[in-house]
Amino acid sequence: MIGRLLHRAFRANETAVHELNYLFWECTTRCNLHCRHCGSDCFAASRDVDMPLEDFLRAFDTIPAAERAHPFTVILTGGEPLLRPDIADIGKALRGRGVGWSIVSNGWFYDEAMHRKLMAAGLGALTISLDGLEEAHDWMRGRAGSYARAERAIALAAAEPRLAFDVVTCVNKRNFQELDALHDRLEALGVKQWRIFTIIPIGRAAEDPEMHLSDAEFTALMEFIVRKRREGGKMKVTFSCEGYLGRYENQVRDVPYFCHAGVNIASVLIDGHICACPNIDRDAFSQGNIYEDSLYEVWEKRFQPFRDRSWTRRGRCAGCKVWRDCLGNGMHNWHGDCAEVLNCHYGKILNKTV
Amino acid sequence: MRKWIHRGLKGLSLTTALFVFQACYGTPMTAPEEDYLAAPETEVVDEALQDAAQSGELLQEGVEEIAE
Repeated sequence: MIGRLLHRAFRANETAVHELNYLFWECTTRCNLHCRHCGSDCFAASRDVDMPLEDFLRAFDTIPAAERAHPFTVILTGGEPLLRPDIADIGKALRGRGVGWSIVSNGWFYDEAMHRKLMAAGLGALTISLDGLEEAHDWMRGRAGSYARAERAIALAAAEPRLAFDVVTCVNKRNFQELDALHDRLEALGVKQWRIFTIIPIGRAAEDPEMHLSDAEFTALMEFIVRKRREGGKMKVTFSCEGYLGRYENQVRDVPYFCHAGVNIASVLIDGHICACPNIDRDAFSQGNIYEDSLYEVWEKRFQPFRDRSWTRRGRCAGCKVWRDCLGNGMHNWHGDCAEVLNCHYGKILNKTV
Repeated sequence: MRKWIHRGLKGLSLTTALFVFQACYGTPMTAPEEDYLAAPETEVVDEALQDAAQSGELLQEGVEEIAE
């Protein structure tokens, strides 16, 4: 109980301070794959034009140097960021401002030449998505050969000491049974950090039953992570910070659940909208636009819905006994009219999904 | 007054000092600039540093430190 109270105090202080440490840039919505779980509904020929680097930098430069003196990372996301021909220029421009940058990628274009180019541009961190062994991954990604390309990228990144690197896996009904084999494969590739998450029912995944674990499967996933963490080994397995997990809180992650969206995290979206994480409902929660507003001013003055979560005490959260620790789960679980939380991890563990 | 309290609180943030976080769909945090430049070299990184030094876009003293 004392630990929970201390964590609540810590969270309240961090929210009051709201140090900006993590800035997503949705630099493209073009993608070479067609993933079944895509929350962005990205396509090869996106309707959105890639945001010019100069536009992003103009917004970025509104952030005072003192704020950027704290640990600060710009995360290029998409779409597939490596489709941008100016990806290295972006990295160099950020390093030129003394800021670390990173990429979330499907790995398709990440060959040795790309690795060298990105390292030369100061890439500091990388996440590659791998959603199972070959058959399950290629099914999920909608393109044959995706697994082989991702594995090549993983091998290159895992051997690079300058990169903070992890692999992220979206667990679904197809890859659920092969997690042990996938674990062993990743460990053999030299991966040190493996992060697991589950799907939010948005985008293409909303109507796909194969994407969603049952309550029993979700609890079994927690047990799998607990087991792997107890076994030790060269690779650390964690569950992503996507929701409050009740009794599993201290067993599947290094730190207790805390949705940092809007507290330490902001996003510049493809059309210039300013939000917290890119997977949050942008229609409901965007707080401004870089083409009309100062990014930093919006961060300082308009992010109240992310920093005061009292509005989430509604629907099934209204009478929940763990609300003070959960605060309505991750912000990405509130969409549309926000009448009800989309996903309750705590409820899954109690086998009480509505 | 509020401004000073705010600045004081900024100095008290524990998130980055003690608790490293990672957004659910994001990457790990990158190392601070000085740690990045001080990381072990590889052939790839060596070339990377030379390239960056030539372009003048990384901190020159950090590159020289690596070269030593």
